[in-house]
Amino acid sequence: MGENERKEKAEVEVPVGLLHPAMLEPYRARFFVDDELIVDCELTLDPYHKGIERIMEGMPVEKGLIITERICGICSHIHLWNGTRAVERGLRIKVPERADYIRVIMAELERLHSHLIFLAHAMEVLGHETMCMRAFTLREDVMDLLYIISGNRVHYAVPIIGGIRPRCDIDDFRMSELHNRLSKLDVKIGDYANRVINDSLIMSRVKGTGVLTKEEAIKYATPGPTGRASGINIDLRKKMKEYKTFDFNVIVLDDGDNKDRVVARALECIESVKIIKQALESLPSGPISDRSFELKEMRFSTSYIEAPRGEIYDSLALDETGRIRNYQNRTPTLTAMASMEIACIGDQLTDGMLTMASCDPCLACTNRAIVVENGKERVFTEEEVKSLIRRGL
Amino acid sequence: MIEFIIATLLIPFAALITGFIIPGLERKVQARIQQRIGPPLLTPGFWAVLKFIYKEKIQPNSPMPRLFHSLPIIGVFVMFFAVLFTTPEWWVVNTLGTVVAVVGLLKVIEFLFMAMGSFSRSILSVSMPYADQVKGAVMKGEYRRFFEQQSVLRAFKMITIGSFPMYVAMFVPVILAKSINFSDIVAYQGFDSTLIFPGGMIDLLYLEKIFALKPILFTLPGILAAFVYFIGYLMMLNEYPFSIEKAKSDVIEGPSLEYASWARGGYYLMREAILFVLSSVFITIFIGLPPTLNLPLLIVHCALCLIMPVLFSVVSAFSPIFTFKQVYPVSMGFTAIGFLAMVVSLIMVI
Repeated sequence: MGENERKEKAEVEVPVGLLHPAMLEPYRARFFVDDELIVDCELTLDPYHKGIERIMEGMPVEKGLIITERICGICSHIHLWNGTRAVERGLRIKVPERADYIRVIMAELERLHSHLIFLAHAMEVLGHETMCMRAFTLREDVMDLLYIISGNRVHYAVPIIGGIRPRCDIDDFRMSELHNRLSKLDVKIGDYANRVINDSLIMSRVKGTGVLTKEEAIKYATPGPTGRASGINIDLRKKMKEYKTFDFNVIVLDDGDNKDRVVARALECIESVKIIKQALESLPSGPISDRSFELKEMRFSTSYIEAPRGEIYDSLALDETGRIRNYQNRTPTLTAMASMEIACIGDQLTDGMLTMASCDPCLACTNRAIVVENGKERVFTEEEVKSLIRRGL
Repeated sequence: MIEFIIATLLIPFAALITGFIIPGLERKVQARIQQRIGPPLLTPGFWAVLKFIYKEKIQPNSPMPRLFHSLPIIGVFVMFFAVLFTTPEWWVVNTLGTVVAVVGLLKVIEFLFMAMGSFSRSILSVSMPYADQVKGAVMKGEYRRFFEQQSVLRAFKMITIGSFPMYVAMFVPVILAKSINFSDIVAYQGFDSTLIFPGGMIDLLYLEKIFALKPILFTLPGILAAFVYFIGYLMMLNEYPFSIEKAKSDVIEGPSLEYASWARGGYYLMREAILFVLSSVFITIFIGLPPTLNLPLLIVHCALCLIMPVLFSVVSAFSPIFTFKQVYPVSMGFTAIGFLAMVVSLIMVI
């Protein structure tokens, strides 16, 4: 259906948000419906802006990187790891192997944590409170594991430049606890995934709704598990040196509907447990950090990493005193949400909200400031942005 | 006359007491299934209502706030009469003690939900102060619909399609008893009218009489109709999986979104009354035990009224919300089963 045809078909607009119990994040969705069917949708994602990139400008790098954890409360480790990784790449710091393993373990636990929250939220939007509660119960076990390693349930602050913090090393006691609890978690997650996949009532809601074809996913650069559920076989972990030693499958599904987005994450949970088990079994001995580096001027350095929601990008430079310059961060939700704007067309209104939730939106990490002058949106050039930063605006 | 007055006061009071327990029971069962403790039994049904009465009064963003606020109270009164119509002491009033009269009152309740939605304008959708169209929006100037209005459309659809199963099921006992009068339906099932008044303390005699009943529920058309009635019950209550009218994921609480303070308490009372009435009607027409002034029988009746909410809590705990894509076939399927039950009962009567 073309844009004009959709305009003609739209009977009425149902605006949803900014405040809405089904939205975990503040965005505004305008659904244009014909009776109950969505014929068009417009999303507004930018009412909330943290300005983390601006806050970090000029901060000492170790202090500044900790702020990247605050980009997202769910995937805080991955943001800190990627920021740290960008610095390590720029300064050519070699990270000890043991530290890389522990970073991977944390990242995969965080992926479990994030996917279980997604499953809980998806079930809540579906109206299935029991499966929602059960996902949250499973998540508690994962948070316990994160606590055992880092001492915190959120904002773990594990990576530092050159390795990991000493308090996050995995000693014998932690190792046995992790082994014991993971073996139980493995079974529980498998049971949960089976229960969801075999529940005909749940499947009747998610199957065939919110379809995003592979072509659309490529066009809108749909990242992470959302893209993989539409047949895009890309997982940055397969290219990262930290994951080279681990054997795991990239979950790629073909239908591109809400069912596949739910199932993809459920199956990724099982793969994550597999990676953690391998990492624990082959955890190398040796130092956990190499702090012999010297902070110096660093040219623009970048790093890409596979976060639970998809690919994230961090880039920054350091001045001669080791202070951050031009920190930039791009997170997956922006393109994922743009894809859902298309995917929800043709759904029932209630399913449309599920489609929005099915990309696991996390706007807190995504937003950019938009400049509106005389009622028209304007994009700042790079020079203008630099000028604003120089003037401290 | 004295029975009539006592029944008019006592039986709605018993209904109210049972109604206070039902929401707590419902929440408790769901919580146990979800491996939670759940709230205390009386909190959702009684203490919550009491709490809301003492909350700060909030003016709704409604074009007719007084009427909007009075609708739950009207609902409570409608259900008050529905309880009385199933009471033997009221059957002497001509034509009130009939299935048709109760169906009429339930229709009023269905309409009330539509009226609530029509008179509500919550801030969560259209009224939210947000400039949607300044940033190059493609669609401009479309008519904008409140959540409650969307909910009213759903309520209308549920009136047309969702209430079929319940009404079809209610007429199976009517066919078997060859009468629309509750008195004939309970008599068909062996209810002894000498038990009606004055009643007394627990006596084995009553238990014997109860066990001597021959409920329609235990016949083939009765079982089919009871099953269909249960689905209709869920639809009528707008409960999971048929709570599309108040689907949290889009229209939030639907028609009742703007009820706050004492009006929210009133809405809870109305829901409790509907829960009791639908269960009570089921016990009356499918088991043959109406709510009477006889105290032991009234207690048994009220206790049986708790079974259906427990069953619906279990179903609700394991179901997602159905959209109309699922509601239509489910409703049609169960209506067909209801018609089958009617045909079987017609054959039995002939």
